[in-house]
Amino acid sequence: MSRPDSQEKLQPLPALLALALPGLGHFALGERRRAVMIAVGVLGLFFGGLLIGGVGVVDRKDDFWWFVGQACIGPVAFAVDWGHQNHLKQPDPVTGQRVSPPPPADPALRPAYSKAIGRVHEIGALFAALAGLLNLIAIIDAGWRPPTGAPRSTPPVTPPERRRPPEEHAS
Amino acid sequence: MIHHIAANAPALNAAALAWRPFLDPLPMHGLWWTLIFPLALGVAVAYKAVSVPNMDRYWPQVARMTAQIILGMFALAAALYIFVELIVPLYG
Repeated sequence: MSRPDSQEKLQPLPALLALALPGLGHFALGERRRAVMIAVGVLGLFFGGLLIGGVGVVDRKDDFWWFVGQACIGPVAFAVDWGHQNHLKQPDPVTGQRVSPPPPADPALRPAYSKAIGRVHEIGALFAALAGLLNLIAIIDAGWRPPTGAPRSTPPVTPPERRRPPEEHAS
Repeated sequence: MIHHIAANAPALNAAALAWRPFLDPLPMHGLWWTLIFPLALGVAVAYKAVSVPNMDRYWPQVARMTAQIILGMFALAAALYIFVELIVPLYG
């Protein structure tokens, strides 16, 4: 059994930075190019989902389980949800709770935003949730990655067992 | 073809003007399946940025993973189509 190398212990700061903003953890570790590509991939998927399905795809009240995945993006997802809940949803006249605006009877009267339905909503939510789950992988990687230049420990390589020639029977 | 597009130009313009980015969903209900291409590319860009040991081979790896995802999804769709449309009716 191999002993874990000291450089593969959890480093909380890069992990927390990766949670604060996608790619920031790797940037702090000196992996600049890797950090930029993580940020491009994760934020591109997240904002791509918002572009496809509209802001309604990030909704911690109506689509809680989608939001669990999206929340791994960090404060960006919570900020989008906060804006959605507090500035775009409208208070229901009966219950007083903020809800998504219903489609207007007159198409000329447009609500603040329109919530997608059907496949476009699902695909937008999927883009944003996959972005969160990919950022979770990046957070774990930033937490356990040695800084640039330090070698990663590899498990000891054991030579393959040599087949011993059959023993000659003594006659 | 050109006459068809020209005849529908006012409707297309109205739809484009009506769409507000990030507030309204994209009007592509009939073409939703094309979104697999940016989805596969985005997943590959983010995943390979974490997993490749050497960034010099990054873009070939991204292209390869994008193609693998797209071909895998199309193969899965074809297999499910054959199962649901051809095999299940035989036993239905």
